Amino acid sequence: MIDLLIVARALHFASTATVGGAVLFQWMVAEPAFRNLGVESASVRAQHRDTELFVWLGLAFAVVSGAFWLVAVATNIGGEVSLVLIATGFGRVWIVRLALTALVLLCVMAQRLPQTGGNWSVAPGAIAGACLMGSLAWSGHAAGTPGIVGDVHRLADVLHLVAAAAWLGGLLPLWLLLRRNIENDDGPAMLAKAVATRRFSALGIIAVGTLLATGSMNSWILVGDPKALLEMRYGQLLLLKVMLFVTMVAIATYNRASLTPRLAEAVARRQLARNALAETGLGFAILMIVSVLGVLPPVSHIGMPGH
Amino acid sequence: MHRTWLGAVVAALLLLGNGAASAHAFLDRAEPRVGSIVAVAPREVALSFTENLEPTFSTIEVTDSAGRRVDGGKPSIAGNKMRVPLQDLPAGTYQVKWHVLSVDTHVSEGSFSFQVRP
Repeated sequence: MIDLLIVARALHFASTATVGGAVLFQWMVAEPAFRNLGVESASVRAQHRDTELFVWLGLAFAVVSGAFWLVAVATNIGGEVSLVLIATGFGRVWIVRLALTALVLLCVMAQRLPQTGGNWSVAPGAIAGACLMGSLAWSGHAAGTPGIVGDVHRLADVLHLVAAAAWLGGLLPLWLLLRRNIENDDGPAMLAKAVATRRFSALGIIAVGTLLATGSMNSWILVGDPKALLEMRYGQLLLLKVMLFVTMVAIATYNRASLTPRLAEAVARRQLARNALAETGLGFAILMIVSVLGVLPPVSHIGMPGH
Repeated sequence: MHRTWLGAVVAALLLLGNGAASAHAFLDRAEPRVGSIVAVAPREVALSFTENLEPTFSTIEVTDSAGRRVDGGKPSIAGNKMRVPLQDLPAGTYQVKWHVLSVDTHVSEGSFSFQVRP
């Protein structure tokens, strides 16, 4: 049952990050970059289609994997799914998250309506998507931490999850955006790509800073003793996760320092798109590790005297 | 090609998850203490765990050496603390069995004994 739980968690993290990242990308990166192109521009319509694709696919996977996660938890507990849904904090968070799923879907579908002065549903959709990701904090270790430390832990976890979605989930939309007509860009579309890349780069810096700060805080709460990092499976996996993260940051730094200033060249745009894919692969590997970490006892919980 | 990838991902997950223990809420503190000998019969057993508990799925049982229940039934649970009242305990050895679900959805259980020896 543990194995079903881990696979369900991995799929759920990946699909939720994809949804959250896509709607946040549209709100903070694509919309502002394309605003000057006008609604009828082919690039804007294509970007809407991208967002819809990511949201539909991501939500479908998120709902199915979330259901499997719930069933796996109920099986581990030995309780009815319906009772787990009503009588546990985990179940109640799942009900709220199902409502958030519907909200994201409605906001994205509303963009198909004839526009009446701007895309009013982009911001609410992005916020609902961020909540869908951030509320995962109540499904994991942070939910169980008692007292004020627990409140700090949960807040840090929410920020950590949203930052992860904003960066990791924005990479595929960025890749698609850069790939579109990569060889021959007309002036305005080229300009929009450059603005989008710079905006995503800024978003990425904020996300990485948030991930570092909140990740350190969570590790401090869950690991405590640095020596135990090397000795326990939880610590080893956490170190592996940090190494993958550092690799992602290294690629992102290269992108920003070397490729972003040369965006006018098609070769730089191609490489940037490739790097976005590589970072996505690393990011999904991190989510796989996270899906295992969540079912392992953290370092701080081991070796407690029973009295 | 896609199937190979999927296989590799599932294999990696299973490998990483191999031997995963799911127990999370560990007993942090107990009153009466684990394995202790107390002179005055306690009025209740109070347990404190490393994580917050789900009341619906958390239970405790206190039995005497003959296996009879000596606790007051339903425990009161708040946060990471669980307490259950006890009947008047004569001298003897008592067994405490707990089975808890932490709010991060992990089940754990354990037991310990204490002695009343006035």
